[in-house]
Amino acid sequence: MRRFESLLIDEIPALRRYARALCRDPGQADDLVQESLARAVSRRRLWIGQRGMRPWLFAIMHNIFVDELRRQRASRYDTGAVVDPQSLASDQDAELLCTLSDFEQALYRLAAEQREVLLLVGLEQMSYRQVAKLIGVPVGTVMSRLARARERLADHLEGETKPAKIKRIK
Amino acid sequence: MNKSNQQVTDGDLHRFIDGELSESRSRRVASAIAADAALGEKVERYREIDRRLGEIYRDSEAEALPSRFLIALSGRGYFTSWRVAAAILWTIVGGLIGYSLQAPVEIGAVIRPLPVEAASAHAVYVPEVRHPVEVGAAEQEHLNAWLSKRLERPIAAPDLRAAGYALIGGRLLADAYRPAAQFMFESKSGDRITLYIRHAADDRETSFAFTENDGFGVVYWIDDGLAYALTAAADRATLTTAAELVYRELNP
Repeated sequence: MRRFESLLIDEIPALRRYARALCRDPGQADDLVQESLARAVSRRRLWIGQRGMRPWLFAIMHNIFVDELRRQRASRYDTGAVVDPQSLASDQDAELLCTLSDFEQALYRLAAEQREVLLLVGLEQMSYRQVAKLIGVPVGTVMSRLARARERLADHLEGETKPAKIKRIK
Repeated sequence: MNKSNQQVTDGDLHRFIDGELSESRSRRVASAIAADAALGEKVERYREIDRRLGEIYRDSEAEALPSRFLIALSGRGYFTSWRVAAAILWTIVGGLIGYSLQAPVEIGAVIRPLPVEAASAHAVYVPEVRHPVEVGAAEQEHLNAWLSKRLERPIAAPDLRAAGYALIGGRLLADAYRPAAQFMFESKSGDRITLYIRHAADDRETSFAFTENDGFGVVYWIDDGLAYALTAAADRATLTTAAELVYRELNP
């Protein structure tokens, strides 16, 4: 197998992990992975080996994901319904959401843009600068999204531990 | 002098956790955290978030790869996978009003929703000072004939002077591998409005639908196999009035 394909295959587990974190539904996540792989293959000439395969692939996946988000938001405008972008991720398939832990539910209630940054930094261990480059926003925006995501989830964790705290005070 | 007492911001805490601070700054923040239980708790909670993310998502790594990934890698399944994925995503999207406007034609490429495509062409060409159109209103007959030939349908620029808009001209556009047309009109005060026309996915006719994209209003509809979108930086009422005029002009 040629170098490009074997490098792609090496990155599939990472792509899949990131896609699942973005999409919540494993089937939908694998669609996203498949689409990203297909697009990567069709654009192989644009890949510059020295830059590393993972950031390039993640950027492709980010773009597909964002396009899809925009499309979803646009299609909601069509219905004339009032759209709260914050709620977009939360009400898609309530049934699936019920099967998740409280923490995961809180995670998916974050705005997609915040969740994405949290995952790239917290899970994929990328630097703020790498994330900024990948999703095409300033480092300051990466930081503010990350801070908002962590604050929300931290509030959630605090809620989890509250009963124990009350005990300790006594 | 105890530097650890200097103000530690929330941003510092995030940068500390993520290894984004210089070594000396990191040491200072670490001692501030050690000295302040509230800060320590916060950092612990932020770290707990990362740990849980790892627990939830790292276990997917050992799974076998679905064969469809390998087909995608071969490059052969490109258009097929696009179409399948798009179909699935669209199904999940919900709120599928206007689905027929965006459903794929025979071509394997994904077709973007009409209002998105129209607003995007509007945004690109309307600010043009020297080349807003390819063929100007002075050659209107040629323009109509050319676009009709390329879209393989009789296409004519409607007369919108009753709504206060004069034709500037038009251009041929590419829309997911197929030709599309854009006519541009201008009011006396310089406001521009564009009419985007492409082949519809099916023969259905629809009533006017309204949406907003990037600050532009778009009224769109399907009539006799063609999909139309009228775009301007205007409100729904203004656009709908103009769209009614377009419709009457095209269906005399």
